[in-house]
Amino acid sequence: MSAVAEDDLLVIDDLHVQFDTRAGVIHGLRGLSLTVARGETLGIVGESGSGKSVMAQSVMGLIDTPGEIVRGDIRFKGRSLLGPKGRSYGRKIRGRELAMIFQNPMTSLNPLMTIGAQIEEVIVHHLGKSAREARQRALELLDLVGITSPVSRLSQLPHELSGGMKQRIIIAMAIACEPELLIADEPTTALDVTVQAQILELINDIQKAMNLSIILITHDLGVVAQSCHRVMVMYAGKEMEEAPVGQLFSRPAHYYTAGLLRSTPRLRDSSDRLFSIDGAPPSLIDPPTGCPFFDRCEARTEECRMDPPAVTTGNQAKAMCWHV
Amino acid sequence: MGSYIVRRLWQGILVVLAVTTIVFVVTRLVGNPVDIMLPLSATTEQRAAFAHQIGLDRPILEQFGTFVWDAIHLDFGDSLWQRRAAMEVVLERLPNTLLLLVSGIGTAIVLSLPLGTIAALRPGGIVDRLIVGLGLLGLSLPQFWVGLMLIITFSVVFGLLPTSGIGTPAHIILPSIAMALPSLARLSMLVRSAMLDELNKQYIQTARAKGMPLHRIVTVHGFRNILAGFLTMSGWEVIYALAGFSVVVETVFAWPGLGQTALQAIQRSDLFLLQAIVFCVAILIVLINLALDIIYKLVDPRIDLN
Ligand SMILES: Nc1ncnc2c1ncn2[C@@H]1O[C@H](COP(=O)(O)OP(=O)(O)OP(=O)(O)O)[C@@H](O)[C@H]1O
Ligand SMILES: [Mg+2]
Repeated sequence: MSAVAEDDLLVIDDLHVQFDTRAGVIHGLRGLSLTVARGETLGIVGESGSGKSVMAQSVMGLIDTPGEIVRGDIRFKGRSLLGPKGRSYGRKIRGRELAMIFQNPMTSLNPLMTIGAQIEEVIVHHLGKSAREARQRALELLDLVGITSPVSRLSQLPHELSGGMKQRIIIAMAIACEPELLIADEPTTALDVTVQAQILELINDIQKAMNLSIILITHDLGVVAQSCHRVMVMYAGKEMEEAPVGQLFSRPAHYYTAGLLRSTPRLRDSSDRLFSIDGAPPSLIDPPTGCPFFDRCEARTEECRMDPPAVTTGNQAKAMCWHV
Repeated sequence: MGSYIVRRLWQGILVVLAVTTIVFVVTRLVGNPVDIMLPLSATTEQRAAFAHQIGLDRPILEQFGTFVWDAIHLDFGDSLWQRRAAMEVVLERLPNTLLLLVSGIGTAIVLSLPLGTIAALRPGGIVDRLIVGLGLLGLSLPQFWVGLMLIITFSVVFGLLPTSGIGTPAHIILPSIAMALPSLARLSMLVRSAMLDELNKQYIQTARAKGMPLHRIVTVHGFRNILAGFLTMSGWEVIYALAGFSVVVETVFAWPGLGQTALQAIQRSDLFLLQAIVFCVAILIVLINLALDIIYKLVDPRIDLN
């Protein structure tokens, strides 16, 4: 915890999250660590079920029974968000310094509260503003996220807006108190392709204008290339590799990363058949020890049955693999 | 909205007309009202005179016309039992039933919100299981038995409250409790499951991520969304009670309301009084339904009334 740690806005340290379900204990996260620096956009990629959303929910304090954070720590600006003290710290900063936008804008807004009321409640609660000031701020925010005729929007209900508009509203709510870290969990997946680009652009613009840190969870490697400084690849509740964007795309170190990159369709070599990694991720109930990618890896050897080391592959880059 | 209310009012009038017609048909055509109302010992002359007096010797269509005309003027003839206008009897008893409804069902409505919500906050927890258990009990115990137990406990053993009748504020306590229990159980279970559903929705996650405190999430976000369904079910509790479920409580506690009067009218073969009661209840139910629709629309503007 020296000067280096001071720079990191968010630190996740050896986080273990479990869900005690009827089918058994699901190990959603199995010792995940990451850091997000100020002003940085960190991309998180990985197949479905790799624990990306669980990570985001852990930071936002949204893990409920049957889920439980069983080990590890989450620190925001050097202070833990776990334990009784951490919870009260979290209540203060969530929605204010730490904000999140969700995947599906269709269901993310209260269907019976006006757009205005939903934006204003954040401002009133966290900044203690009067109703009038909050309304003024809400208008500014709508303008900022590119919503036309904001005055009439404030009194509308969510069902009167399109998906893209709703996502803009949700972004407006998230940045209402000028947060320092924004977690975006697949913010564009549920939207039309054309709208996706607009929303991404909006997020990028806001990031630059407010010098936000962003954790951008996505399945779309194109989005990562466009918006992120650094990427982390997750698999089966663990980190596989992290690297600056350029390095990850040009020189993936982990076989899983390489597989992910190859399974992304490219426009140019249309002769290729679409590649996909054979097999499926391991069950997270009783997950195997050693490298979780073992079953599907072309380069596996006997030592891969043991937990792989974190091999440094460059500046701010590492891969959890025996064969780099 | 305005045109909708007008249309629903028309529909309501049609419903009342239909009910009136059915009452007419049932009382005139199924069995002979004269035989029903007069004692077995009545002579043929007495029967003929009575039939003439209530217009039974007229053509059926004319009878119907007169019946509808009188119904519009709230004239249902004289109660044979009370020997005064049937509607007068109804209007005298109706406030008692309404009083019982407001205090009984009203209590259920007011209490079910916090009970159901508290249960939903920790599903499977001790409080939840206690509330669900009591709810099942409230649903399965027969109302008359609950009423009798209340009388035995509070009136007979402890002597705290009057056993039955009407008069002082103390008289209304036990019948209200008996009236409230099943409704309270049904409504609490409804609030619980609706709130559970709501709290699992994505927009609640958004509200939590926004840092909204739990009490606000429940009482503003969740509550707003279960309100329409809750009000509808509350309205139905009132309708059940009006349509007959208050008979049991009114009888057990000798509460001179409409339900008890209906029972007495049946026992005394007082057809005219019964007609007046049915007509009055039908109008009330139509009005409550109309009010519910309007409230529903106000609470959930997404609903397209057309
Ligand atoms: N509330 C929950 N109850 C039980 N298991 C859960 C719960 N939430 C997540 N999990 C489990 O945790 C694991 C990780 O899920 P998570 O939602 O984080 O995946 P993801 O990487 O976000 O996937 P996707 O790309 O599909 O969103 C999955 O196996 C999932 O089944
Ligand atoms: Mg996810």
